[in-house]
Amino acid sequence: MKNKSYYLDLAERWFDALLTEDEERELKAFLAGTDDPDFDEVKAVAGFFATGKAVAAEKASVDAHRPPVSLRFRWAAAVAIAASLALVAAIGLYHRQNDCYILAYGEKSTDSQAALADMTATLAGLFGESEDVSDELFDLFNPAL
Amino acid sequence: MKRLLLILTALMLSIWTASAQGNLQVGPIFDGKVVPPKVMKETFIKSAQLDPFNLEQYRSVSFTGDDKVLEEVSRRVLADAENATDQEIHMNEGKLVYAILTFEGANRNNRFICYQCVSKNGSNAITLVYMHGPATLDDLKRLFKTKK
Repeated sequence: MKNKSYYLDLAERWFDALLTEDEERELKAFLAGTDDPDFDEVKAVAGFFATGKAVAAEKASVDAHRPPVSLRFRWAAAVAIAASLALVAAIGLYHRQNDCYILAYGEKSTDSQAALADMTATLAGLFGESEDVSDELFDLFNPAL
Repeated sequence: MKRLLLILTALMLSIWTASAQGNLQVGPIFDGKVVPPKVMKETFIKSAQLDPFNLEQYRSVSFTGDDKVLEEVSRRVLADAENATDQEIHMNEGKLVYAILTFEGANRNNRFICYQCVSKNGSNAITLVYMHGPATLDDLKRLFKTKK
């Protein structure tokens, strides 16, 4: 009959990772059946590892049914990039075709012909002014002509 | 994946919010930060209608303001003139009355700022235009002088 000190020694060597697989199984079997508070710490650590192993095993099982992670990532990245490009292109196209307005004193008009007429009149006024100033300066410095 | 989406979102937002006039001193005028939008007239065109003019974008604002407004607008136009590759500026009694600034860019991506002020009885009618596209100033002058 193995006594308490034997299992305490096993536990101590288990923490030092010095047990054989058989000894480890023996210790776990003992831990499963004892209520001795001296082994609470060992049981807690063993329980933590057991939980970790169970989670890892479950994850491995789920991952086995999925495509490789890198492949999934590439697909998702490709979809994200394609969607983003499509969105940017759509926004660009929308703006290219539809951005045309006059916002006069708080009231907005999207009449593109009116906007174009306004632009033409404004630029004609500006560049006409440029010509006028040049002409005035020319006249000023060439009064005899 | 989250990082990729974050980068793409940030990129799109930066593209979306980037204003063509953003790096110009006159930019805030177009954005209604010098004169409230409700007291000015804004015309914006960015469509295929501009193709015959070799322009990609046209934006103008016109408003009336006192001398303080004129001073602020003039200050910004003249500040931009310092970075212009070509400029045509006319002053009258110390006031800026007319300016055409050209900013030549790579690949014929030229930008223009045009300014005109008509003062009468202490009131100043100001027109400010921003344009960009492959057109040159000579192209624009030739096109629009004949349309007056």
